[in-house]
Amino acid sequence: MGINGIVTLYHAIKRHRILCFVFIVLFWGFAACTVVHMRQDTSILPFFPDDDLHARTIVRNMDVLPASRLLFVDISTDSTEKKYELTAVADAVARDIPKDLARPAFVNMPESQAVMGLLPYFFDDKALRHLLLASEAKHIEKSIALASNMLANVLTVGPAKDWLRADPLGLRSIILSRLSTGADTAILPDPITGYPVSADERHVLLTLRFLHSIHNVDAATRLMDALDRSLRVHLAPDMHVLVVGGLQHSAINARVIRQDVTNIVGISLLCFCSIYVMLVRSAGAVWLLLLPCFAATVALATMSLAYPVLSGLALGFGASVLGVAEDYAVHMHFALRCGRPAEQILPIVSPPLLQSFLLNASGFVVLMFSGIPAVRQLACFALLTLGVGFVLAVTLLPVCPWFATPMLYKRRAHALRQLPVLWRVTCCVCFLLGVGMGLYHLLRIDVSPRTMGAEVPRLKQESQTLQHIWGMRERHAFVVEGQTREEALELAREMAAAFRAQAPHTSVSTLTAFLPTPEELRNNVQRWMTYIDEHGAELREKILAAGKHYGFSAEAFDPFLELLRAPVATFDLECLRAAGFGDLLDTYMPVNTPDSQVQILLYADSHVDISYLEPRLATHVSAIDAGSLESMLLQKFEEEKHLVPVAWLVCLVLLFLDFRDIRQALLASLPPLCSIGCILAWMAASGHSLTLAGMAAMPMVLGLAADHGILVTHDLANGVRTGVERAILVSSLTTLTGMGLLALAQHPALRSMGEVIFWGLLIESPAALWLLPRLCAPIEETTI
Amino acid sequence: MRSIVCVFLLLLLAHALLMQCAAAAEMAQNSETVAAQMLHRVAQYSSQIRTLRAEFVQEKRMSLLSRPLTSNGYFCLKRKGDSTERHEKHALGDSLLWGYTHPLASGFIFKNGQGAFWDGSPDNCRPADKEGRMLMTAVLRHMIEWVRLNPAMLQSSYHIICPDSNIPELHLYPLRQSLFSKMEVLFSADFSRVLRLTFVESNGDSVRISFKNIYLNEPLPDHCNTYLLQDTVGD
Repeated sequence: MGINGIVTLYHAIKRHRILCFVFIVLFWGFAACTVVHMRQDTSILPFFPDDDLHARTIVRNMDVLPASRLLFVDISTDSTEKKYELTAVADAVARDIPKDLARPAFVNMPESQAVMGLLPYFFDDKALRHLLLASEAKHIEKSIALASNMLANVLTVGPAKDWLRADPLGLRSIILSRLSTGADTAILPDPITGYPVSADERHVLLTLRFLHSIHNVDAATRLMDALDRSLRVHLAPDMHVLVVGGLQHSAINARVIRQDVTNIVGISLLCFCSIYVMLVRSAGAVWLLLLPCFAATVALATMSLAYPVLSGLALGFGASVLGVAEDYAVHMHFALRCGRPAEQILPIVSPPLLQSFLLNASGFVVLMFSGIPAVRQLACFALLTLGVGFVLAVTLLPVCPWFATPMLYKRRAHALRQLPVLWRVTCCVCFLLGVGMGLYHLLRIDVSPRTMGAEVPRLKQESQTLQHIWGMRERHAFVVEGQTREEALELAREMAAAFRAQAPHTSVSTLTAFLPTPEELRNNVQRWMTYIDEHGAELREKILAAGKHYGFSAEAFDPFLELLRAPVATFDLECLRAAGFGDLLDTYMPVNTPDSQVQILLYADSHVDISYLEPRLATHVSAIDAGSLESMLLQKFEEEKHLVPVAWLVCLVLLFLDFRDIRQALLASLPPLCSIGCILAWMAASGHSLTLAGMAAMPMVLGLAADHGILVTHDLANGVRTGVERAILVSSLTTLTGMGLLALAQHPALRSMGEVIFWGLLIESPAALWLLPRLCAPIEETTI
Repeated sequence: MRSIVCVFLLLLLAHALLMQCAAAAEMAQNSETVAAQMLHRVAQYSSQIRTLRAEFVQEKRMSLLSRPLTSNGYFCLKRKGDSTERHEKHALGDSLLWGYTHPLASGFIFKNGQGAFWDGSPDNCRPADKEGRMLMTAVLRHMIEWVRLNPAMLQSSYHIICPDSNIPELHLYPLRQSLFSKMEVLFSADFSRVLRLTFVESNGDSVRISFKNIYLNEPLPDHCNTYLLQDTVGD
């Protein structure tokens, strides 16, 4: 579409403006309805490349790790003898937590009779020898005498008596020695309170099991809010609380961001209004504010149709480009208020706006080739927002009521046409490039996920405190995947053997360490049944006789005698759960596994390098380790870094193609170069690193700076005043107060973003408005 | 006329029922008030206890046994110095040696939150495992609570009543899940010592421990001191 085309389009829209407005409103309504049904993914999963299945598996597996869904609430007091008060608080908190979010996780104690029911499955040769020895008359006599003696002890109450009844011959060690390996470090509950109580009785531990995915930030935030409310109500003044769990990170992030936004939004709005009152003074401001909202809604709606799930983080970062979208409208607004009719202004303003749009868009088009879904979504969102912003700015806004009123006071409608002086511009560009290169070496880049979280050091400290109080130790987890349970168990067995071979001093535990193999299982059951057939009746008689001799009632040992009588059921892992080993089972075999794969977890004391495993095994195992995940993330970003210079190169080529003049292209690129120089100088001076959030803010800063460079260069070259100074001031100041004030935020990601925007825009406006004209000379001089 | 009589009788009956309910409520309240007063009197004595030793006769009645099981024995309790020291590391800072002499010599030592069982003589101690230690702690807490008595703590954990204000006896019903469904404590007339403890389990099994030859704040015998002064138990 040529210069005349834009005027023709303007006239056409003006003629049918009512129809256009109705269409826009309807379209907006439709877009808003679509956005309501948008599905958001607040996890970090979209930040991992599509083709890197390994990384994605690790992130996904973090959700299946049972411990990742636990929230530990340590309630303590300085004074002693308040265990029951602490327990009462724990009870009240557990009651207050919404049942759809979490439930208390109590440690179940093994149930005597059900545990003894497992004996046939563990009845190996050693167990048979044990039982043959124990069933000799003199040993039975001795065992029953010991049971009688134990009964006399005041400590033999409740569960202890049940064990005597279910296991008079002391056979449970055959089972428990196998099944207790994983429970060595378990924190056992107090028999009376039901909660673990510390040795000094000043701490009670309430463990909550989160019922949603750990990536569900909304549910995590609701849980933490409910917990806080409950603790505020029930906690006595002399009590303290320590909350530790992976969910806390999500909830604290959301809370800090909410607090930051609440604190900053008021100041921002005040500044925003002041800027509009002082510099805009027009009812057309309403359209300036509506345009970014419309652009964002349309962009989100289109993306909802294009992507089944959108990354919340990517969209959050993408919101920063709304400032650039508003920029087009601001420029059009002030250009139209300069006193000329729209038919004259549109051909002058539209080309530099189009050039700015193409420039910004080109950078984001390059990012669309990224292998990281979140980056692609961010680029897509930016492209759509900028596109809608630009199209509306040059088509619909000029016909909007009051948009071009009142006229601006202008000293000169015309000025001398100016072109950049080559040596001045070249010197300036070289200087800025030199400074930029020098500072780049001092720059530290930190794209680790830690930089995206609030209060990370405090949370880590609290986690260590909790581990110290309760003697927890950190274990490295590995996930083994198989098509069937048998295959997964077999793989886990092989994997554990390989780990032990690689690191002999490392303790490796997995479900297969507790369970007999299918073959062993068959043999054990067969062995048990043979024994019962041959000796069962005799053993029963001996026990009854000895019991009678020592004063036991006839029914005293019924649970054990029933075991001798009952047929052996087919072994199922659920037998372990029935016996009170449900926690053990869940620890090693997560129930919430995605897909149709069966997963078995392995734990090791120290990190085991799985790259040494033979390929057949390595394909089935992945480590769940935050450290390796972080390094993997860094590696992926390193691999994506080449896209940044490509994006820059594309932008420069576009600049040159548009101006077809190296001097103007260089001049227009000065504001973004100044912004980069200022950001780098600030980072070098303050020692701050360039974080992921800072990087996300860069396109917005550089986009605005490039826009302003292009518009001022056009303005100078045309010699026609189109209110560009005031437009730049308004655009920069609104962005500075809107996003730049985030530099005051507590959340590190928001702060980092705000700092980059603040320092980038601080220098960009003076560079565009003051420096650029000084590097130019009237057209007659430059042609000499 | 007949209907008037009926109404009158009904009113009379309702009044009688109301009076009875009110009397029952008042009695219950009285019983709790007396229990609270009794607790405070006991607390005055218990705070002064530094050492305690006694002999006991224990009688266990259980569904497992065709007849009650009676045992004899002794115990020595040593409290740590002041309350700060006592509560420094373990709330159960008190040390206890509990020994049976009949029908078999056996027992246990509990000290600094650690426990050990012994057969024959306390010299042959074997440390309790984690679960055994927790069970031991839980049971002993019920027993030792009567020495380091804290009325507020007991009242927050048990519903306490005094069934007969003429007998210095308290009945305690745990407010939450417990090893016992009921505890009965009989004090001496001056409330200075516990004469009998009875624990009743939810299935009806019970253990009754009657104390005699009770010595308060007197030097412990050498054999008790030896074991209670050791740093660790079961080594």
